[in-house]
Amino acid sequence: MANRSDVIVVGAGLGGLAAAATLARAGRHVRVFERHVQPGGYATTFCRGGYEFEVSLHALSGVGRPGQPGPLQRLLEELGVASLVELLPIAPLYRSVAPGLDLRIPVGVDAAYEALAERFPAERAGLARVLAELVAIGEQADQAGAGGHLPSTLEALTRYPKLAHAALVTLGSLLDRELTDPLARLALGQLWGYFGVPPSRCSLLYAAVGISGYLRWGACYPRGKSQSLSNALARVVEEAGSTVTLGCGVRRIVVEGGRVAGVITDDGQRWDAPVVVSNASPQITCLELLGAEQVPAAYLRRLAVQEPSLGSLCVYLGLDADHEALGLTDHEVFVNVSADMDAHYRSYLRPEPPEAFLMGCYDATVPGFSPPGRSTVVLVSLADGAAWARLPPTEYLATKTRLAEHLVGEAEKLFPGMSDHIAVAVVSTPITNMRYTGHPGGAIYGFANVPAQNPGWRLEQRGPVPGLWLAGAWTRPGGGYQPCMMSGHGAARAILATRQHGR
Amino acid sequence: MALRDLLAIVRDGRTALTTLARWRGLPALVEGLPCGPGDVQAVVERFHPASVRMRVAGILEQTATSRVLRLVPVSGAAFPPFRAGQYVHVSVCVAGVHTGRAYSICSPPSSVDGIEILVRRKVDGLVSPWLTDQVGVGDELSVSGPAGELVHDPLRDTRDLVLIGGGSGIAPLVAIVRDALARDLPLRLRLLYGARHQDDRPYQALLDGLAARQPDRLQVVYVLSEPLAGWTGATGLLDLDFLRRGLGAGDPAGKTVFLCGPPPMHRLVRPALLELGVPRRRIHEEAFGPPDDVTREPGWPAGLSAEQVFTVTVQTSAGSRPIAAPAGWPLLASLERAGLVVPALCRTGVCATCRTRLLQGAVFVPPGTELRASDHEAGFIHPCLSYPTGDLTLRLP
Repeated sequence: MANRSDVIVVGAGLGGLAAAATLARAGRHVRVFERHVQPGGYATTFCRGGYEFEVSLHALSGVGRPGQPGPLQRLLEELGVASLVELLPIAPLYRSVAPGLDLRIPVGVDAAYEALAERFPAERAGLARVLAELVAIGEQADQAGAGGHLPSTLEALTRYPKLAHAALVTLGSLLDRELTDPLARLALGQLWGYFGVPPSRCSLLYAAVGISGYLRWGACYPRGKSQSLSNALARVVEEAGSTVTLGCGVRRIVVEGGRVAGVITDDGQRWDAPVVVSNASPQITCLELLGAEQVPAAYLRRLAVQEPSLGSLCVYLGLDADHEALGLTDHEVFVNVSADMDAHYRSYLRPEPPEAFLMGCYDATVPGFSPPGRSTVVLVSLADGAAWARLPPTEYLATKTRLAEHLVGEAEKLFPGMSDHIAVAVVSTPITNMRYTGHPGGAIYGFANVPAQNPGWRLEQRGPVPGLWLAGAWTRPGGGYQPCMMSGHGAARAILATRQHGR
Repeated sequence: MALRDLLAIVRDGRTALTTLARWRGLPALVEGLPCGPGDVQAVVERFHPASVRMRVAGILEQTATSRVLRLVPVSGAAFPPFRAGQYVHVSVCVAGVHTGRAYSICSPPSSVDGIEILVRRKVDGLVSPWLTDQVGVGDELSVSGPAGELVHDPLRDTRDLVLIGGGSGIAPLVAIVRDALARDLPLRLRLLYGARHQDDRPYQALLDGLAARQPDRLQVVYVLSEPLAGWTGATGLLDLDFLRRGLGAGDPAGKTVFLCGPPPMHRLVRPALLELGVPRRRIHEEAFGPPDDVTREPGWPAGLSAEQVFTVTVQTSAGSRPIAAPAGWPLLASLERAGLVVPALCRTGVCATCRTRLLQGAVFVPPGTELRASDHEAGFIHPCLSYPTGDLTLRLP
């Protein structure tokens, strides 16, 4: 039967591709359907005016060093893409700028401690305790997740109590307890921009795995940009004899006899499979692909009570000058108008000038990222899609331009002369995200990474209908490149472990 | 250690339970968000629809070869927001061929009830004669959401604008002019309008009216290559000699130029602007469609005739079939003539909508086409601006 396969994957984001690659390499016949013409979801690039812009990736965590592979490196090897993607180290990890602060945090726990302790000598003891705690949580998480699965609640309580505790509290609770200088909290909590919620709301477990992952294993960026990772995953799927169909979305997941039986694609064609992995958001999966009537009411309620993460406002700039000539020598610069991270977060909740943003320059890490004599910069802040969606369409573009001008103006203060070299400017908003991913609010991290939603109560990969699985940022372990691939990989392993499909 | 952690869990667990309890009380609030799950599609339709069904609400004849179509959404909703200078892709079925073309919007974004597009009949064209001669008021067309970068962007551009256009390339420039004046933007506009003769100037009456009302904001200079009797204005081509004075007062380094016209105009104007000192980053160009004669593009394989026909094997989910593809035609055109529909937008090698896998064989791609580096390595092409140089195998979704 030509229309029959072992597994159908809906959506070629990183979660879907990681699930497909794992299953295909285990000998299953997989069909991936992606409505966009490009694989990757957010892990993609676009070309404008001679520049190729990175859509979403800033820094991969968990890569490690030659001979000391980190968890992400091991995952990439297991997915069969490690040799297809060249990863370049980012150094320093980031630079944090605020009134009274301009500090570069290097990779490595000890080096980071030295840099922080030198700037905040009065906080030495507290800094050491925070870093030790973050590392201890990160190490225990590595241990717990080494088998590729997340521990159950009971297992977590008995074997990994530190994780169980970290899952209950916020990063802010640790920073506030151990540090008194708000600038020290900012300098160490700065990566919250990668987590989507400020320390006062961010799950300590999620943040500790992230921060310690970057400090312990380093940060990397692929030479071929995130698209090379997505293309490599798609290639692995196809080389294993499965298919990735682009430009063809799924409009329905078919349920028969109480379990998944296949999908109907946008062209009306039916494809049969006893297992479907959905990389679409669970909301779309349940309400549009399955239909609410197929989903237990309790599950729908659970989706409704969870808070999506914020979306993003990105200003992609192509500059006609060399990055070094403009002083753009840092891969990541966090720019803050104050030390109040909660105020920064609040500024993202309405379409107004953001009080903190991230400025990335990939040329600092990847030689030849931009054409010779040019450079590429992205200015990013978080942004609430609900607030953007409330804008009258007639004000949308003007708001976009006004906020982009504000961000460029702020960046110009740090890098004078930069704005005179803008050759290409492209601005994306949460509404742009919605257009390409269909995620509620243009969310970039699935459900917000707050303790109540990450990871303990985050959606599991097993879906609400037998035979349906979920992969991606909305599910465990959470948002981000490495977590999304872990999610898809985890879903695939669970599918392979079930009796019916394990053969 | 473990005991201490367990005690901490007991201590902090209460907080977590409180959080959970709070979440239990939130469903109504979350469902009430305008961005709740079911509303994403509605938001996307309002701001960024993939396509809009539109009706021809009016036709304004312009010249012997061109007319303006006024299009309004069939749904009665407003056309989605766009920036002056952007284009739409109009999908059509002509002589049994499903195809389409990109047309710049000529109306300003402030007219939200509909858009104007300028269609100029191209001799031997497929789509434009159909739109100029066959389409009437009341007919419906499928139009893409707006796209394109030929827009004034305050992030990048100065306020001293020189708009240089000719032929149907005048369309986006008309929109930029109308928008700047309608919104009272602090811009100085100088439009250099190249045409063959006096009766070959779409939108001339409108532009002259605007310039007469606001001479300090807008100057329009016509340059005619084959003027009819009685013409007292500038004649000739938009060459270096003309542009030396034609750019107007002020330092060329402080000007932003929008250039949109037939390919020979771009070949003439671009180097002249650079020579006069306009920075390359402030020269914005747009030219739709494949080159008139691809064999004259730099890098075209020596000895390959445009008429030579190759066999392209097209793999689809329905199976595999061979089609004929002349070397001088973009692959997209050959695919469409064979009845294969490939989504497309710009048809100029920029937007990547038609991204297709080249499984076997080689193509010629004119310089300037944008392709992701990783796509190039993975064997993807943009068939709208790729020409077969031998037999090929393509994979369509």
